[in-house]
Amino acid sequence: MAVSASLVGLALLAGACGAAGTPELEVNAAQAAVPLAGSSQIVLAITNRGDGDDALVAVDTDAAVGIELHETRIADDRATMVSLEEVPLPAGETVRFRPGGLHLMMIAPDDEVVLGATFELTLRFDRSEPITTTAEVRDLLDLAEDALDDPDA
Amino acid sequence: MSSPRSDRSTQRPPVRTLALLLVAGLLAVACGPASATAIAAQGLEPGPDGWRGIPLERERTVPEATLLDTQGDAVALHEAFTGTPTLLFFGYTSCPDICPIHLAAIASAMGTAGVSFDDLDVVFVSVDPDRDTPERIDDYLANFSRRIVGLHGDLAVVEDALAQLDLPGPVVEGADPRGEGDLIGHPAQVIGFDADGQALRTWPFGARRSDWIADLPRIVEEWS
Repeated sequence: MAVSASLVGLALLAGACGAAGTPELEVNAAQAAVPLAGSSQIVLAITNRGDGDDALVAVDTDAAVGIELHETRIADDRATMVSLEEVPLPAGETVRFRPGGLHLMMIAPDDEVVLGATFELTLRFDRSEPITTTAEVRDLLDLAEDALDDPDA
Repeated sequence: MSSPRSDRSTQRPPVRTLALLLVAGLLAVACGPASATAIAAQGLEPGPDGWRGIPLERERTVPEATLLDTQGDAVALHEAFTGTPTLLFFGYTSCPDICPIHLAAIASAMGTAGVSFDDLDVVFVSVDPDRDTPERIDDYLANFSRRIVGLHGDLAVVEDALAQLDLPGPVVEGADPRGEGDLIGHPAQVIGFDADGQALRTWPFGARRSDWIADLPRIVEEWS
């Protein structure tokens, strides 16, 4: 009871800032890794230039069975992955999906998801209208190294 | 002692709670000035000796454990992986993030640095024996190099090998959204052993192709 009460408290606190304003989201060009063992990940950044918070709640594509919101966490030499229901997009911040952190995982990409191909993604949000963007398929290592090198990638 | 798999059902609710707490935590920091973005390591800083790999402080050796290769032959690690330097990594083929990036970086750098698999063993040990069949391991490793040695075995043997290296064991992390098993926690780093089987350095996630290009020739020259 105490735990759920404090969770509610946290949620109220979080809702207290940014909920009144209007989110303005901007999505950069997405990149997907060449699939391996039936999955792939997508590198993407979402910037909220507005004064209201939002959250990414789903990503759809015709090019895979589905896309999940994941986070890799590395602590005490152990890497683990958690599946997230939604990813907060706070007002004034950029949230990046890339290797070793938050990432979009494509489940069972189609045969056309090959090096150099492009496909469409539709991002769905808690408050903003959906945004459709194009993802280009790149070599996993090139994608990972560029994403890790460039904080603005 | 019960295995992590036998009491899976009792572990799931706490994992869900953890995920909820995480979401709550991310929400809670939303007001702060700090970025909500998880920043990954920006490559490895060279040490004073120029190595990118991080020296190990405690003595460890190639584990005394016997696993199976993808042909079904028994491989005693401490015998098979002494005589030449060895890079050892524990992962699983359904791993979408850490595992393939480590393996791709090593395989790519081997080619660029002109280091032969004859002079350096690169070994992938599956921590997911339920799903990682020999065929699946072979298919997976072929994406990087067919010269990478893929090993598997009973979870208890793999856990013992990890324990000998003082590494965290595989932990089932909850229901896999793909519906074909569970997500698994595994060590995030690659461990390097010299030809005598002494573990000398580790490369955490975030090691780049350039880090490996710098270190691989030294491994062969100095650890053989």
